[in-house]
Amino acid sequence: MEQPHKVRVKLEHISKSFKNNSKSPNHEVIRDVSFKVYDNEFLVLLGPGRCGKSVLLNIMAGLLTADWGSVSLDGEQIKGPNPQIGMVFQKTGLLPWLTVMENTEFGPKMRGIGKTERQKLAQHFLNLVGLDGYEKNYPYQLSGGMKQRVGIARAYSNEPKLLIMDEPFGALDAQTRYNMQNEILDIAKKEKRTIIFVTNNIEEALLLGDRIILFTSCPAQIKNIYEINLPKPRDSMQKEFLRLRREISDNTDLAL
Amino acid sequence: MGESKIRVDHLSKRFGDLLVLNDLNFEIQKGEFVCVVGPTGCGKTTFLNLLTRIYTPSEGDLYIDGEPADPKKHNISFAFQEPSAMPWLNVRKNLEFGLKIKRIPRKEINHRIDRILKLLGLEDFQNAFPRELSVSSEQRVIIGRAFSTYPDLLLMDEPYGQMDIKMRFYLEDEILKLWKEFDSTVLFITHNIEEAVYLAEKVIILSNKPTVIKEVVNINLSHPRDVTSEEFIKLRKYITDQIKWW
Amino acid sequence: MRVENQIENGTDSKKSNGLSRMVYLMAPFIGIGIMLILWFSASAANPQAFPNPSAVLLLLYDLLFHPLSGYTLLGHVAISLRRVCIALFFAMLVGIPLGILMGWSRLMRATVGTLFECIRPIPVLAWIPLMIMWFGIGEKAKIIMIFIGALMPIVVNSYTGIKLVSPLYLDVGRMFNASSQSKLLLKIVLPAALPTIFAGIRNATSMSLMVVLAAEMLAAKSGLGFMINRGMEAYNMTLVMSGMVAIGVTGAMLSILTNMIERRICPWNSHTKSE
Repeated sequence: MEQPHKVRVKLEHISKSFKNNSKSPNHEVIRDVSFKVYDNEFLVLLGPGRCGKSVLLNIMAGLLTADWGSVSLDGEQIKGPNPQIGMVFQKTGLLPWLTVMENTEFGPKMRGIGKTERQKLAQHFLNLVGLDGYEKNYPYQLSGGMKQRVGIARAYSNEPKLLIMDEPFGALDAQTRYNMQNEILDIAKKEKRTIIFVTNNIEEALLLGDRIILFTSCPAQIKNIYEINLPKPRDSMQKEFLRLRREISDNTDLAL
Repeated sequence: MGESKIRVDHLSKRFGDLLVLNDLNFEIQKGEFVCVVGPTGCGKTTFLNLLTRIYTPSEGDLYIDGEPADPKKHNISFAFQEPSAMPWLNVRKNLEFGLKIKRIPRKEINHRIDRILKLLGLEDFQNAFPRELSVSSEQRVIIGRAFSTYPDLLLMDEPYGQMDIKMRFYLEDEILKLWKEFDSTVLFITHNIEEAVYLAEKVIILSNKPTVIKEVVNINLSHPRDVTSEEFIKLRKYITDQIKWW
Repeated sequence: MRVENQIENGTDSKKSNGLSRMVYLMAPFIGIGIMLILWFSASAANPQAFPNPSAVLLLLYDLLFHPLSGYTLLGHVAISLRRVCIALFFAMLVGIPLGILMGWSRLMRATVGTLFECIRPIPVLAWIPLMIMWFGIGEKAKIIMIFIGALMPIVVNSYTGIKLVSPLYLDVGRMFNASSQSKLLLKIVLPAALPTIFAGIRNATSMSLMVVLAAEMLAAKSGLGFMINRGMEAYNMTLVMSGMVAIGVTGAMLSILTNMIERRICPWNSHTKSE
């Protein structure tokens, strides 16, 4: 990437600890993490286990506050839940009492956007994720993969400046996971957004990411940043892919 | 040549009108490591249940050493995707479990368990309880336990399910180590083709329902195998094309 | 996945043969049949202590047309139900908002909540003498007693429902523009808590039936509890049993009704699905 890309998100010296109780020392989760996110890039945050990365994501989303450091989106500091950030949760989090359409249009509805406009928006994204026809279904009637597709449509429908995805395919079986990876590549190509994607799966990171930030295990620190210049969609059996996989894998902390 | 260790002969299973497994035939030699791959929903679980005698075959049968498989006569060990260590026993006692039931003398039990603990590198953890271990370590104990009884057949169903790459490779090397040490006959079911090509001497490819054996691919690479080598990738591509589950 | 479950739970042709299937089909009837046989024989031996089941049914039929102390069977049922319904209505009116507030506001929890926790351990029926002292033995007193009995489960369940809302839904709310307290409460927390609140209403209904019986057995001139009491005073066990059957059926009907209402209001709730 030769031409300079605009910086959309800036994290500076983020640190976070959790207090267990008065006796044990604080559980340090993130230690001095700084990085930039560029316009329209697919950035993957990769690291072992669940430690640190999800907390970092929640801090970026404004759901948690860091002990130290700051996060800014387009120059503005993120201090609380920010509707300009669309989030896809690992456990999907579809509201069970709402239909697929009502779930997807939830963001715009809460913002006060009129019915026709927000439904048009929601329908556009439901079509994009291949769920047209399911608008009136309830979440309990959908499979895991379908629910997560609604989650993705919901995040996009909120017209966010930034999309954050927290291990969205972690709870899915291998085949569904593979299908969803291809889908998200497809969607990202059709609807250009800045995307931050968290995963602990090296192959998933290599298949999806323009850049991969590799974290250590707890406390999370940046170990390495990889720029992946392979054209998408990528072939997981290709030599360069395997070489990168090896390099990243050797660099990962093994938690036995 | 002699009698093959495991023989599946015209094995079929139907539930009412639904034909799930259709006339499966294959053989496994003693000490062979065989992987079974197939698309999701291809009756792998039904196949497994037939091997473990939870279901009875509609036609044909499974033969061990020439006789129909019988849990009372034959020794079949398992390892499944969820670790099934007994939470009230420590690591050492979990490993001993199968041996104690078979009334193997104490001295022999100690000898085998020490060997396994050494191979797994878990000597320092032998008195720990499963809840103190990570999921992957617990799984390793289960696998060690499966090998310890010198089973006629060792059945594994996606034991490394969703683990990350580095851990998988580590565990795969470990299981090859155990396999060589105990000279066991292993049937390993997986959805991960790279894993199958890495581990097996023979890969059995199952089709969609009604399930038949699409093909049996022989892997003639020596261990340790290089996943980036041309032959490896060629085999992987070939098997992936056969399955086409996407 | 579902196909596999079907296979697991369904027939494995060689294992389950016709015999075991027959057995499972007949089993419930066998159980009830044996009990009926025992009851009939006990009743033949001692008709006083074990009223004849057919006599009970005949009496119930009779009471449909011939009044007992001024009311037919359905009249007594209606009277008991009326007391229950009025009490339940007020219990919901007071209890649900109270429980919600206690679950949502820390201050409410600390003040009203602790008071509530102190009163809760007292079994409802222990309030009876006090109630009689304060309100006498009229209609009002009975309804108040049922109200107290119904209030507890409704408040507790409403409170629990609010507290147990998954933090995931709260995060979803915050990320999708519903981060103000009022929006979170109305759009996320309340709908999420609805199934638990309904569970509270169901508990309150069975509790109410119990209390209305107790209240009517003590001091009433009508209602199902009164009917049972009448039977007891006259050593008429057949009447007693008729009352029991009547209450059982009434309770079952109420239960079915509540489930139907819940299924309408909470169509997403898994346990009310007919799967």
